[in-house]
Amino acid sequence: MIFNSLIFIFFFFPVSLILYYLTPSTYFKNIVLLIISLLFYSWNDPVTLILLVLSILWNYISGIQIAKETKHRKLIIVTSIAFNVLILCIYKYIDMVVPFEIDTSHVPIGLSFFTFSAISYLGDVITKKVEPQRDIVLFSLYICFFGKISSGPIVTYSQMQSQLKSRIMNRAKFNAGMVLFIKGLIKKIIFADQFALVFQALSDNDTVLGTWLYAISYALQLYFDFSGYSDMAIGISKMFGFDFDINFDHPYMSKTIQEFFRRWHISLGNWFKNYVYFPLGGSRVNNTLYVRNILIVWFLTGIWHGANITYIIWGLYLGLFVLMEKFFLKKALKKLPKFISHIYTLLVVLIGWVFFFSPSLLSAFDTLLRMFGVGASSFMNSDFLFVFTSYLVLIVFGIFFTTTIYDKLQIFSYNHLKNKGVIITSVVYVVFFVVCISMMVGSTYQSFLYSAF
Amino acid sequence: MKKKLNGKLDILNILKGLIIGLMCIFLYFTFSTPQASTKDFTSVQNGMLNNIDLSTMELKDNISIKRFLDLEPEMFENIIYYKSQDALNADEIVLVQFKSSNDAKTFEDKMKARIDEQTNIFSGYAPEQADKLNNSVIDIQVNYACMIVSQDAKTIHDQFLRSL
Repeated sequence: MIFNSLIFIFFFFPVSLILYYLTPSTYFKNIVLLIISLLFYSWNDPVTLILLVLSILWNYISGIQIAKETKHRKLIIVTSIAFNVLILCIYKYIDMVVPFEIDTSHVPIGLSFFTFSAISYLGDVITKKVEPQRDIVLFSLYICFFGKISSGPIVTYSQMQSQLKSRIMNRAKFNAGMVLFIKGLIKKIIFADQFALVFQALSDNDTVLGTWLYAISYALQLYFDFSGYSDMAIGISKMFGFDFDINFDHPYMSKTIQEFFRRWHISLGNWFKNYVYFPLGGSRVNNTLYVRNILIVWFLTGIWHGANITYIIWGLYLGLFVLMEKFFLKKALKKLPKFISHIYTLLVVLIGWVFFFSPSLLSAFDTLLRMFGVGASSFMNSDFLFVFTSYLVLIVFGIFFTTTIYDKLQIFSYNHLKNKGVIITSVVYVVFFVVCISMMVGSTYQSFLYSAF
Repeated sequence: MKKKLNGKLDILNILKGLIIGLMCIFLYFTFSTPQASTKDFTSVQNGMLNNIDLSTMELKDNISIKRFLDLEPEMFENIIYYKSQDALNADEIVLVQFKSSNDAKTFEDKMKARIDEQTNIFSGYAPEQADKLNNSVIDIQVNYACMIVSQDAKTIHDQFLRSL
C-alpha cells in the first residue's frame, strides 16, 4: 500500500486514526498502532511479514544480549549487525555475485529503511546511548511503524524512544500533521508525477536543450517525489503523536555540495555520518584517513541505492566534490558571489543525477555529452519546444517551490493576516487536495521512486 | 545469579539460532520459487503502459488475438493486445494474466513463433522494423507475461516489472 492511493487516503488511514484515538491509554494505542503497521506492511504481500517479524525478533534479542556484560560481547555485536547487513545484501546484491539467474524482483518494501533503523538501534545500544528496549511491542513499533517503514525517514531509536512511551497528541499537532500530509501529496501528485511525464516525453530527445530539460525534469521529479513522500510520512506520524525531523530542507538552495547533503535525505546522511563516518574516525584523523573515510561513506551511499555501477559512480563523484570543497575549493567558494556558488552546486548535482537515472555508464556519458553539444542532433527541435511550452507553468512553479519563498509567504500570511491568513491557506490546501484526488482518480498509478531503494 | 544470567543468555542464543534457521528456510523458498504478483490486471496494465504513446496503436479484439497471435483468449484470466495501425509497422504489445502457470509455455512458444513470422516478413524490406523485432521482449513472470515489439520495448518492460 502507498500513501498516495485512494484506498489509503479514504479507508486505511481514517480507519486507523479512528481506532487509534478511540483506544484508551498509550499502552493500548501502541498495540493498536503495531497491528495497523503490520497490516499496512503485509497488505500487498503477506509473506514478507515473515521477514519483518524475524528481523524484529533478531534485533530485539540482540539488543538485550549486547547490553549484558558477557565475554562474547564482541562476537554478539558483530553477528547481530552482520545478520542485518547480510539480509540486505542478499536481497539487493545477490544477482551481482551468483553465476545463475535468480528472481530478485521482490525486494520486500522498506527493507533498506527498517534494516538501517535496526542497525542504528544496535549501534545506540552498543555505545550505551540507550538502554535496550525490553518491551517487544514498543521495539516492534519502532521498527515497523507504518508512518516510516516504506521509504523512511530513517528515525534513530534515540529519537523515538521517549515518544514510544508517551507522546503529545493535541489538535495543533494533528492539524500540522494533516497540513504536512496534504503538502506532501501535492508535491507528489501535482509536481513529481507531472515532471515524470516531462522526463518520459524527452527520453528520446537528442537535442542539447532537450537533454538539459530531460535531466532537470528528473532532478525536480526526484526532489518532489521523495520530499513529498517524506512530508506525508512525517505528517502521518504527527497525527499519531510522533515528532520526526524533516528529511529535506530545500536542498536546491544549497551553495556547496556539503551543504546540499545536509539538506537532501537528511536522515540517510545522518545515519551514515553517525554509524559509519564517525566510527571510522570522521575528520579527526590525518588527511589520508579522512579521504578514505569520505570515499567509504560515499561508496556505501551510492551502493545503498542499488546494485548498479551508476549508483556507485554517483556516490564517488559526489564524494570527490566533498573532498575538493574541503581541500581546494573552500576559500574560493566563500569568496564567490552566492549565485555563482548556487549555480556551481546545481550543476554538480545535476550531472550527478544523470549517473543516478541512467541505466548504464555508457548511457550516462551519452546524456552528459549531449548536454554539452557532443553527439546532439541540434540545439533544439520542435519536440523540445512542444514539451517546454506545454509544461512551462509546471517548470516555473516547480522551480519556485524548491525555494523557501512559499514557506516564507505562508509564515507572512499567518503573522500578518492572522485568522484571515489561516483561512486563506486552509482553503488553498483543501482546493489542491481535491485537485490531487481528482488527478489520482483519473490518472494511472505512479509509485514513489525511492520505494525502489 | 551468574548461573541464571548464563541460562538466560543460552536461551537467547538458542532463539537466535532458531531465527537464523527460519530465515534460511524463508530465503531459500523466496529465491527458489518465482513469486506470483498480487496486483490486479488493470494495475499492471496501467503501470506497464504508463506514459507510453499508444495513439498509433489499436487495441485488438479476441478475433484478432486468435488471428495474429494464434492464442485462445479464453485460456487466459485477462489478455490485451495492442497492434500498430500501420501495416508497415511491427509494433505490438501483449499482456496476459494466466489462469494457470501451465499455460506459460504455450504463450511463450506462440509469441516466439509470432516474432519469427514477423521477422521473416519485415527483414526483407524494413530493416528498422526487423531491428525492433530482434530487440523484442518476451517475459514470463509466474502469473503475468508480456510480449513487446516497440522502440520503447525496454521502458515498457521495465514498467511491466515494476508494476508487478
